[in-house]
Amino acid sequence: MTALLSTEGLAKHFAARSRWSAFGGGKSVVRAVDDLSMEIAPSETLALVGESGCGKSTTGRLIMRLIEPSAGRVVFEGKDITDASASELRQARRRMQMVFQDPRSSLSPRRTILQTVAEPLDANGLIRSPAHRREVVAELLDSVGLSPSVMGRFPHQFSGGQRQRVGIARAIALGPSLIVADEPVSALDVSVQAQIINLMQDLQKQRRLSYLFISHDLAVVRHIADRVAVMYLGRIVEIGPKAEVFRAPHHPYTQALLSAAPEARPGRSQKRIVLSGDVPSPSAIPSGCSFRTRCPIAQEVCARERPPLGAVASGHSAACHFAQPNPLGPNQRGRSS
Amino acid sequence: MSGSLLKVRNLSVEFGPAGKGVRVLDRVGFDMMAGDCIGIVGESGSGKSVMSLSLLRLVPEPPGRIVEGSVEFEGVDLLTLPASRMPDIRGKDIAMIFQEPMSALNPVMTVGEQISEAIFLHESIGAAARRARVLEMLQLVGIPDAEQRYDSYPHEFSGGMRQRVMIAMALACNPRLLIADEPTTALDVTIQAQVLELMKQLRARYRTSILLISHDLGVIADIADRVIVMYCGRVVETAAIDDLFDRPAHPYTEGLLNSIPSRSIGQERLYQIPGAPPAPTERGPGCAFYPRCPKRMPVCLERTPPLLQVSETQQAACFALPAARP
Repeated sequence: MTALLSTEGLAKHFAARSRWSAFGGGKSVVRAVDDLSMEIAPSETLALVGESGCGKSTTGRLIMRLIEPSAGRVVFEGKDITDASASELRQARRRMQMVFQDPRSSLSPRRTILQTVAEPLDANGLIRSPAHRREVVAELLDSVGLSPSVMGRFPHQFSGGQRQRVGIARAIALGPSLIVADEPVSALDVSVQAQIINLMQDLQKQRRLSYLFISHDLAVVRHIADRVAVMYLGRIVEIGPKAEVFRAPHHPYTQALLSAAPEARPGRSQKRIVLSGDVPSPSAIPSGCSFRTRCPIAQEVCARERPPLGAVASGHSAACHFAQPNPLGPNQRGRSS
Repeated sequence: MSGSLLKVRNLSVEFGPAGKGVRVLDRVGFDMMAGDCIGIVGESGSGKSVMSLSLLRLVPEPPGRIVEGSVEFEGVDLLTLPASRMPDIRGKDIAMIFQEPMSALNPVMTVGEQISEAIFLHESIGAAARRARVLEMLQLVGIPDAEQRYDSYPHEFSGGMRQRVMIAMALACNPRLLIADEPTTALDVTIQAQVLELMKQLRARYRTSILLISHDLGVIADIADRVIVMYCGRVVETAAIDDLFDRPAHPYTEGLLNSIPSRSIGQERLYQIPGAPPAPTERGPGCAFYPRCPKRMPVCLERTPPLLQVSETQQAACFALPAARP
């Protein structure tokens, strides 16, 4: 199967002025994303997980070409779009769209739902007449579970879940093949979150969509993803099929992350790995393996050499000198009723 | 150890002009024994934060107003005390930690001074003894290099470290009750695990009673012994932690548990509660969950179901319960 989207060595470095630069001090570089290579197949959901500041949102923006990469390539539907011109990008973006975390700030408060959802259609000249416009928008609203009668309303008249439906309707308006969804359910309450997750899965089946699903919530990822990529300080430290990563995580960071997530079930936190300390600043990434400062199994070699992302099983890779399956035992995060 | 610590009865809070106010908290009642850790769970707008603020009479007034009820803390009704007595209780007997430590800490005061101030307000001990206590608290909550960090400002700390400072401040006067309002919601999971672990250790060591407010049932399951479920300003269920997760009695609790992705591993689709909670202005006389409830009956529209005893350790407010049948 050929990939719908692939990245190769993708990187984004931001120049940040250091606190002393006014006094002649040097500039520092924030390495938000580094050497990131991955693929997404048609109709597949790849989840990008990690904690705040790990570069997962920056990766989403790089793929959309909303920001310029410092290095590396992005290939989408067989075309290298890394150096695409404005008009080529416009073409590509008909096929790749984004859904944001907070629909309150990603929807214009002064536009009606009709205007909001029709905007990408208008911008691409796909509307023949006002009646045609209403017809297309009604269809889109219907497919995200909203009544076409809400077309004349404004975003503030909707609940958070309904606003996210509007955001999704706008994203699918041009018939994309890839949706980059950046924390699409994080701002929603649990009961509403379930509705949006189900909707996204339904749309994926009906429209053969691929998702790059960016999330910090492992429970949601475990439900929706086909494959999972775990990021730490701008790099993928583990990537593989969902079942593999959750059953036999190989990287110590993945293991800690999985064990740290509280489970909605009493008495399950006994064997939690609690990492010491905080994530280092992305402007001062440790030498060698960037996780070594918090790693429970770090050795001397970890400070000298950066471990490559190496295969540990079919389609499953981890970047650790001492990668080994889950020391917690296979049942630690095992299946449940 | 045991003994009644907190007794809340009929606590109601309205926002807006008197007479036309919107009721955001409706006759909430519960009991807490010394040493308990109770989790309060609910979605946005369920009234859980207003409830925690009203326990300490911190609801901003106007527009808010406690319209009825009592909050008995160790036998004294806090709501009828003269307002001038409240500062003695806040921070000393009952301490509170908030969701976003950056906005709860003073940005232009060092962390050490802030903790020291909390002690100064409640205890008459000398400056040297205070400093020693602050350093002890900083070490207790796991802040390395306490001596140096004493003179740091909040912006020099990470989110998890700031929350530790908040906890140190809250515990500096050895309160009997700690109210924690979404203490880990702004933190990453690995940092959340650290803070939860710390709260558990402190609880075991000092026997502080904890009222933990959270939207995250995972966090509640991790630390609480009892749970109060709120929906639209009312208590709809209260139960021992295992009962709640094993045998939820209220349809809302059941729906909430079923919507959690980690509880439906291997299922194609997540269970979903249809619709969204009604706004406070749209709540009628009946059960607020009526429009979304799979077990609704005509009677649910007419009046609010009272909390009924389901078992020794569990109560729920639903007319569909066997206990509600005549």
